Amino acid sequence: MTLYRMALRQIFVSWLVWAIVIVLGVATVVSAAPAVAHSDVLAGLVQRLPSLVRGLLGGPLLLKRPVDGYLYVKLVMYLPLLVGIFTGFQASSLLARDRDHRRLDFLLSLPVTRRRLLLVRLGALVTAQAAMWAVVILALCGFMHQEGLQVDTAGYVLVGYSGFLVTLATGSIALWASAGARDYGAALRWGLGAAAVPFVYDLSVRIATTAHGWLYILPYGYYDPPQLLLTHAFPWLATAVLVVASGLLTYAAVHTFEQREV
Amino acid sequence: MAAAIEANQLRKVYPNGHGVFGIDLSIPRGEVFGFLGPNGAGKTTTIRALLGLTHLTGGTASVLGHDAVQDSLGVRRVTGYLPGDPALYDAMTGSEHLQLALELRGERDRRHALEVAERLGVELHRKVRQLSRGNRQKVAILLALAHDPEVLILDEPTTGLDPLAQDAFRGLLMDMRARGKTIFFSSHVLPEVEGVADRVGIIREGRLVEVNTVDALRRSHLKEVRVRYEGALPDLAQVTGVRGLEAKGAQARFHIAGDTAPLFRLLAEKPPADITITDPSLEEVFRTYYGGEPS
Repeated sequence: MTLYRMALRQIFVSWLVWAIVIVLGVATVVSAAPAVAHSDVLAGLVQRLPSLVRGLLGGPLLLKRPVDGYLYVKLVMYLPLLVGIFTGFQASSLLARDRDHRRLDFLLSLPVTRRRLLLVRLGALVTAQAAMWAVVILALCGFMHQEGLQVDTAGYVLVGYSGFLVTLATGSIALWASAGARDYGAALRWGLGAAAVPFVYDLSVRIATTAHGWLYILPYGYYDPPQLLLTHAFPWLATAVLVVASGLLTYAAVHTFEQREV
Repeated sequence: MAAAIEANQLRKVYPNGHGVFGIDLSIPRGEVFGFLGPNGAGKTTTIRALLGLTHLTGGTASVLGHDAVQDSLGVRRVTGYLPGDPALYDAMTGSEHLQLALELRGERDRRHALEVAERLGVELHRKVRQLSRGNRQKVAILLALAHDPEVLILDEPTTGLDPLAQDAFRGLLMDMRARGKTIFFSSHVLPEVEGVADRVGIIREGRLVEVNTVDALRRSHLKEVRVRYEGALPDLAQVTGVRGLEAKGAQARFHIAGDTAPLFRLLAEKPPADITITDPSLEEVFRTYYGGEPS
């Protein structure tokens, strides 16, 4: 428990800064929504867009629910990237920072396995990440309510849940990459790179979605906020794929960490 | 009874070719073993290999029957380890470090730890970043001793400690020895090893070149002899085993190695007015492995 609390404490300051920045961003975007998201204006804009761009921006949502569509384009679309950067940064730091400062020597001189050390720290990161999504979705719904907008709480909870799964996988990629990195700097580069991958992938899949629907079998494709908000369908497949992917990547990270010298 | 610490042909070779090459060690329970060698000789690599903190290239190591590779966790459970130049968490206090260490060891009783802290004068409630180098070292020593381990492995333990803290630390080691604990410690402060260790091992370029008691090591090496005659000096240079002869008037200083019988025959034939024979200090013995014979 002390190991877990210690890991949480190491993350806390960074978590707080990121949470404040994201919540401020949410407040700013939501406060503009009533003035900007007029259905007729947006509908006219969407109709004039090329189909690729319309897909990219979640066109059907913009047409059917302009406010949510507007919030998606201006905010929700970037949340996995923002939380993903936080997660990638923290996941990269889980081992590499202590390794660089030779503190792993102290920890590993105690009767604790490398596997347990890594998993406890990952557990703390998952907690922090879940808390981050909870705060962001609560803030989003709260500010929408305050602005007198109709709030699709269930839909946004699903969006937050899916975003959490995506950033869980992002963190696992970063953890795996950083477990084998030669130093903290290299680990950070890998971690931040990992955070950008799902975002870039999402854009490319969205552009190609009609012609290459099969790409949605891949993990990030199932994180589709416009669809979640429109259908409220629980993303079972995304859950399965992303949880399995995160598990495999974590297993790979543990294996890499167990094999390398500290 | 199995040895407390055992290494057979222990081998760890780094990609740059450095490391340790075929270390054989057997340290019985209750012994204080000093491990000597200059920087880069392989002391820390050997210690890390004993604890299972590094992947061995070959050989085996065990502590109280726990294999360092197969059961590294078991080794660390029965061992207290002080790393050389230990790195702690700046934002945590000594007390928080202690809580972490005891919790991971499943140790609920803090009395022994608090007694050690008091004897060392550890500032438990200050953050590590606020502590001086010596006080950080005290925290690290406390963490190694907190659970009253059967085996204590210390890498350069007195680094940064002031003389009073060194005395307190030596007192703790003596108490542990009296209670039958096994202590393995590396150092380059040779008089310190001399005063505490039952046996010493000398490592050079990754190879253990000598393991013996401090007394035996001294006896097996050059003795310093000073003689003073009333009249002229006898021809000491012709005596077998005499080295580094420095004669000045009726006084002479030299070292004698190996068989001392020829020297004593001469001294019996021509007795000096005064004679002093001293064993070399451990430092002088150590230097013979690294810098040739003492002059």
